[in-house]
Amino acid sequence: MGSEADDELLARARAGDTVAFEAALAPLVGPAHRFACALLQDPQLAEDAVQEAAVRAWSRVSRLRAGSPLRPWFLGIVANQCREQRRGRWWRPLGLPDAAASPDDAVEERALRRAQLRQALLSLRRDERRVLVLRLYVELPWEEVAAVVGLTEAGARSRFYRALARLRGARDPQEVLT
Amino acid sequence: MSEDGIGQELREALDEVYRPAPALLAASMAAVRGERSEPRRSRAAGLVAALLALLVVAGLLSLRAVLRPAAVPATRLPAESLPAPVRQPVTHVDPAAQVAWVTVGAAGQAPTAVAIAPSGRVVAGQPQPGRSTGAAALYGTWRSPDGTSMFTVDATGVQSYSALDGSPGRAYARQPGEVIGDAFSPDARWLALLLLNGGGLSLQAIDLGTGASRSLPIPHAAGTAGPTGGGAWGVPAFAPDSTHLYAVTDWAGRTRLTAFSLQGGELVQTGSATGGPAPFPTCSGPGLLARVVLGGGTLAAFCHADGAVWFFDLGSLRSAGVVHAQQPNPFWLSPIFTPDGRLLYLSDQVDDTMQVVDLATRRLLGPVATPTSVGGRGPFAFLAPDAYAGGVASTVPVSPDGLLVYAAGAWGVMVLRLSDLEPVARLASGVSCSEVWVSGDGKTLYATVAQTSPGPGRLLVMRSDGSGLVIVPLPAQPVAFIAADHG
Repeated sequence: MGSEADDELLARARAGDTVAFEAALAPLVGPAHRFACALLQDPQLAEDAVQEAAVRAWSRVSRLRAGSPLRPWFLGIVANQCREQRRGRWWRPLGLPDAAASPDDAVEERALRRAQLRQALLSLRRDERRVLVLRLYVELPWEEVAAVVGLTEAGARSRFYRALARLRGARDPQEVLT
Repeated sequence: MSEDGIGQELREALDEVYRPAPALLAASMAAVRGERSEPRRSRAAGLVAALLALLVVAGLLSLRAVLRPAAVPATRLPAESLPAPVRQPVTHVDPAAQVAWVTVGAAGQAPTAVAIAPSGRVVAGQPQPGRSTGAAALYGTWRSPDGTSMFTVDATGVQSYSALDGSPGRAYARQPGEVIGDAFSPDARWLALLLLNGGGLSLQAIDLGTGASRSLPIPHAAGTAGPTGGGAWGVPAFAPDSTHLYAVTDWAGRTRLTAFSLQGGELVQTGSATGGPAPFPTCSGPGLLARVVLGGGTLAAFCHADGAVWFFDLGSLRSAGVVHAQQPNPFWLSPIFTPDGRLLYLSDQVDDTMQVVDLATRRLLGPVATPTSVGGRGPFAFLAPDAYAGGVASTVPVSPDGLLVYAAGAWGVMVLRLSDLEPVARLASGVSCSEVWVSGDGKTLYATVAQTSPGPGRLLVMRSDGSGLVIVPLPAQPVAFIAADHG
């Protein structure tokens, strides 16, 4: 957001125009879905989270201050919705790629490493996971990462590098030497 | 690794779980405009709540509706539901019951059993003296029902080991002869062996606590002679009370059901029948699998040769009916008795279908496509024995509480909910797994990694939610887990 056209869309949305709200939200749904997929590691749950977040965003858009950027605001709602999704589940899925049969050990090894990395991501603290995903997967600029997680830009960077170190530590292969 | 490096790797890893959803906004806007009364998540939550509250009912019919169409046509199910699985108490919490035992072997070498603790540490390795040749190979190594002991059998005796660390325990003498059937009592006190020796078939019951042994001949029709080797099959099965024991045998005449009691520690034959004027059904091959189910009143037996499921009333020792599962070829189906003894799943890993027998009503439902959202092997493909057509699976990885079943395949380990087989989660995604075993307390999963090239094997160890994944190198390629029936 930021252009006059965008500001006008938001203004109309705040006034109750669903067409304008849809138009304003349209470019954000893709990144939001990627964000939710990364946090939940379940495409179906991620869809549910984004849908619910969109409905919540509509119910709250009238309170969004004029001139405020829409993307970090909406991604913040998505993040909260993902947290609720995870709370509500009695079972935690750990990724659902439709992986083909591994033709060789190298492919299998890479698949295993990717599974470990996803698992390592889930083992991080919630705020660390959000910062990492927003920066590395959704590829937001630092100012928007900071806005989504409610930190200063410097704070977001600090959180990011700390999370990165923890991710490396958690994902390193845990080969057991016997 | 640089930030760019791990960023790229993270993107690849997360792209595996990302699915574009182009209609997402349209669905949300429909809710915003009030075109739907409630957003989808609420509906889904309501449905889940209803399912949990009712604890059943979705059943196989609804399963078909939510799953991808099957590659193999499956018949439509009647609009009936299956009984909900009954939650079982988790009692196998001894540390020894959490240790996985897996046989490994390279071509030309004697197979070895290796034990791996939940931490991923290899805690023991044992050669398997009973797995060298002949029928003994089928009955070479067993695990006690409580999961705490391992047993090997050779020509002269039975040796026990601690499942915790492989340390030798007691040795037991056994009667001479070929072991054609075995069973542990549910309380792990008794080991029953069906032995064929010199034309005679006998049942030996070994008291694993004291080492005392009792033996009785299995009756046969007067004037008939049994085979001296091969050509006979039999299966013993204990009742849940561990004091009543039954043997279904096909030797020297008709199929026979013989009942024994171990009341007071003595082995006593209490009855024997062949069906009288309506002879019991026959099974034209070995590998009969039998369970005493429904609280001890019924014996259900599955014949690998023709897919028939026999029912015997144990009060009268009479046939209580036969259900014929759809089986295009002998040794095509793998049976899974649910721990609550109410259902028998029959998995056809060739055609990726499942049939299920309600043991109380003796109804057969299915076949239905085995639920999976990916191609390749069906989620129950792990039940296909590696070396012995007609053998039963080396593991039956139903969770100890009886509510979940774990399946291994090219896509990792799939978690399915009994009894509707709804896929609940997929673990170790993308890693091709051959077989899975769940620890006695249900908290640890072990999966052997499928290999396409020679060399030592690997084992995955993880918590039951897939976390804490550890890779354990094995000394050779894995063959199979050594497991009690239900972990």
